[in-house]
Amino acid sequence: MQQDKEKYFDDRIRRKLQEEESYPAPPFEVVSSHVKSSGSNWLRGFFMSDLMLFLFSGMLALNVQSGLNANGRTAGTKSVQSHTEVISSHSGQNESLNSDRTFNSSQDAEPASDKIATVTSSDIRNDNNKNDQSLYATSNQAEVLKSSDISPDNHSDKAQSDSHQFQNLNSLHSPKAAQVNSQHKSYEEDLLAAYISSPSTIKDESQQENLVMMTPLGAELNHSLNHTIQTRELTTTPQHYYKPFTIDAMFIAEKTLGYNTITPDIYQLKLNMAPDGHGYGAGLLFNYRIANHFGLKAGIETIRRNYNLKYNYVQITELMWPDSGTVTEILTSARSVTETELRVPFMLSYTLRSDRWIFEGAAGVNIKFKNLTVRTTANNQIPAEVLSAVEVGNSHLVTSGWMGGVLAGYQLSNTMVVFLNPYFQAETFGKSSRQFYTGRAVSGAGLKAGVRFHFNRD
Amino acid sequence: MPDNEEELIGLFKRKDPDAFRRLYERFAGKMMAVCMRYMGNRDEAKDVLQDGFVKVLHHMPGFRAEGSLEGWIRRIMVNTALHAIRRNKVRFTADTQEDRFKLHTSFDEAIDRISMKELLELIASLPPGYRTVFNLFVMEDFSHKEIAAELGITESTSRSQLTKARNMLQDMIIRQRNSVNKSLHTL
Repeated sequence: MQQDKEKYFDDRIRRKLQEEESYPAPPFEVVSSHVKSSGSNWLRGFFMSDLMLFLFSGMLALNVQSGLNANGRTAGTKSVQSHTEVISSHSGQNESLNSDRTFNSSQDAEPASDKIATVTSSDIRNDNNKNDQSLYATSNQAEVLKSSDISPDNHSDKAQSDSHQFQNLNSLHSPKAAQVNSQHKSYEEDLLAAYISSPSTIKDESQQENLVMMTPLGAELNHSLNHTIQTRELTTTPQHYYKPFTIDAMFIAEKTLGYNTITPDIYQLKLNMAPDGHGYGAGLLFNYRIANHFGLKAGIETIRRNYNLKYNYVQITELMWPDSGTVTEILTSARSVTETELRVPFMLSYTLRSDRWIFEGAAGVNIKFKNLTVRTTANNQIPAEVLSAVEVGNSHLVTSGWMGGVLAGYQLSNTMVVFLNPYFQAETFGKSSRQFYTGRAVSGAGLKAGVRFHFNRD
Repeated sequence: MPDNEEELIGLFKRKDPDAFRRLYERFAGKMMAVCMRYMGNRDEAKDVLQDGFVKVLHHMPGFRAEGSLEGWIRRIMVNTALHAIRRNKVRFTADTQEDRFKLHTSFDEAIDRISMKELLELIASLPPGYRTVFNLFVMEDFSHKEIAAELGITESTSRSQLTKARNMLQDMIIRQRNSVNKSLHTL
């Protein structure tokens, strides 16, 4: 009965809402500008911060400006992968909003010329008469068009006085320009190019304000990063959630935990040792996603570590006349071991992602190529080893073992994740050295800290 | 403008430059209503709508047309809205007090006379926790188990929030209707 009432209530609400489910949405132009702003996320993510992009744009502006000043005309053909445009909105002159610009030097304005001109834009204008300056940045793929496609109609006086001719995006949509552009653009960029309306299509002043509000420099870039993260979180198609291919670059610190069944084969030594080894290294791991959450990891790691072995040598002396019996002496000795190790791990991983966090568990096998150098130390009571710091053995070993660990990462940008990866590893020695080393198993725990890169666009 | 979803998908396959505009114009109103229901105010709903359509554009080449395009887009909008809600750190307070939904006798008349837009705005004015659970349960047909998993809450919290949402929404609908009646009488 109670459930029926609830069901009835829900049903009435649902039907009412579905009658004519609609609500006034913002105009398409607003959304398209939003789409455009996220068009080059991967590139901006690479630059990591607003500041970097701002500096980059400033340098680009200076370079282009100085180039123009020095030559008096644009020289040859140039193209840039990205341009940033910082515009202070001119009082009463908003015709340039939301448009990519192109300029060439006025001295270069030869309408009949077939020369390829450069579409590079980096323009900084200031207007001291108005405080509500609006900054926005856009970033495009290289765009090249013929100078004959640039009509001189829309050049402002100010622009001409600066020896620059400005052109709206409309010129980019000319047939010739479109033809040239299409060779450089992906499907998505084709769509974007078409979606971004020229200012002439935005009749309403409030829409123009919206566009300006949408694209303040910092906000837009932050938004781009946020957007990228959100896109990765899409749950309808989980395969978009995880990057298919990533590379981990890391530093490694490891502590040796223990040895088992080490039975030196000369001197009849009884080992009684507490390894105090530690090592440092670096590595590169390649991660390849094979299913929604599962991936394969493989790579190389190199680590160099030192540890000391302390052991007791039991010396039994038989006494002769006039006494009889035996005297047992325990002599202590120590050796220092330096291992240089190249590991080739193959692991299976399971990854979980949230908004910005990545958690991963991985386990697998380790193939190790190692070089062992064993030296005696000064603290040595064994007569045969009175020489200190003498190399008593050098072995090359190929060993195998296993490694497992968990990784916690934090997404810094859409191309970069920082991570910490505590791990445990153990290995089995398949071979003993002739001189001394006949260890069977060594285990260690360590920490990898590094950066994960991916180069896949969303 | 293409009338059906197949034509829209075809436009994207043919890389028609007008495809996204048409898609937007076809679904923006409906999806804005979805976003409003979840976000509660126009500005946040607009942001979610924009983000949602950006995702739609990015993932459109991978759309396999196994279900309806509208359903797919709606799901993306809902996910985007849920993401925004999680980012806003909405608190879903568990209440031990047992609530029961009581259907008011004047509810039928009130719901008949209220417009869809008014109802949408009333839902939007519910507290975020109530609103989210109510939307997921009533409109998206989620079970309490699914809601609990989606929002990281317990099933009992989900039930409690839903009951409170129903009671509050019913009160608001009836009050809205009464206030309209009152203003008509004063005229």
